[in-house]
Amino acid sequence: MASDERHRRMDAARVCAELTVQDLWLRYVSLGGTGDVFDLDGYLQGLVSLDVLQQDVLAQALNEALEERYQSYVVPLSTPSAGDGWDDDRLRSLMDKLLGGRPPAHRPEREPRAEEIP
Amino acid sequence: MTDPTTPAEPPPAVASAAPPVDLAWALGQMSGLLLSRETVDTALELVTTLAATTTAGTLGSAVTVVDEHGKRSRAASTSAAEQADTLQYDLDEGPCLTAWRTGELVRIDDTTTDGRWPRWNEAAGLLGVRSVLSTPLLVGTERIGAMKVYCERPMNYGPHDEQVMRLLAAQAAILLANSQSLQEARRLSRQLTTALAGRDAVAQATGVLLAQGAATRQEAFATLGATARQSGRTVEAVARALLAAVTARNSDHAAG
Repeated sequence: MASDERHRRMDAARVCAELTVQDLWLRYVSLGGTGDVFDLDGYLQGLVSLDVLQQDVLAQALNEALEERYQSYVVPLSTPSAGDGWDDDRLRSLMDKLLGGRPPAHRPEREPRAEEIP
Repeated sequence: MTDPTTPAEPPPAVASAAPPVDLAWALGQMSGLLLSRETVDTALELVTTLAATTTAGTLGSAVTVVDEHGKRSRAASTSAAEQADTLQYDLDEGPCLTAWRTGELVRIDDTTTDGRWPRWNEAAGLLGVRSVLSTPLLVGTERIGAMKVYCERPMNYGPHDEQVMRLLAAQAAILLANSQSLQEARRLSRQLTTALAGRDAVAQATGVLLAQGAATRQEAFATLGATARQSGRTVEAVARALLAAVTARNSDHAAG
């Protein structure tokens, strides 16, 4: 039942993000999706099934489109925010974590990272 | 002769930032829709030449195309026809613009007595144009331009010529609709090339995570998705950052 619901939610998200099936397919392909437009259309209409990875790729494509849609409506505050530097640090520390390094070093440039690599 | 299913030749390389693979061409082949730009031009010229020779006494013939880029002539059979067209665009009046705007065939029996387009009639008369027949070009219900024949004699065109022009205009409209689908395919080709670049990054980042011990591709993709959420980036941006981090580490390693 959960998977039966999922395609309906995805199609609802597609409509909400104002994407045609073709637009959605392009986003899905750029994230590594391997189905063609007909697979996607069929899945959204509940006619064919997609394997779980393909469903996840599709869900991610939809979520990113929804986020873009949402961001386009966001109203900025009058006081400027902290800026992007913090974001970059966070991204760097997340990358370190993914690569098996230690999390947020405050002096990332001086970290002797070489020894962490076999 | 004007069969739109004539096999297309590969079009010349796309001018701007040519993608390595001409997807537009491949897509066009698949959908069986496209003619190359050259084929369209050649076939259009054939149609205008045919219009000029099948309507007796014609001085010249051309096709007017109206789209978001403005009004212009294509496949003019003589320079006189091209000049008479240019006058219409400059003065923003004339039989072809009226044919395009109304979707109705327009006939001028004598430019020296016709009062509908006084400025154009006078200027065209100086070029030696006395009678005109102009047919709208229709693709479905959309009006995309007009096709016309000009003649040096007054009272040159009759019902038979109108019939011929209607038939030829239908062919010209099909050809022009084809070059529009070519543009559409090029747009799609650019989008696909961008999508494939993103896909490369995601695939390589997935590989990195598998090497780092992710159990399955699905798990690796989920990790990319989770990282994207935590950093407020897209999966593609995270994938690129991950690849950049790996490259930086490797070059650090090599330097150290």
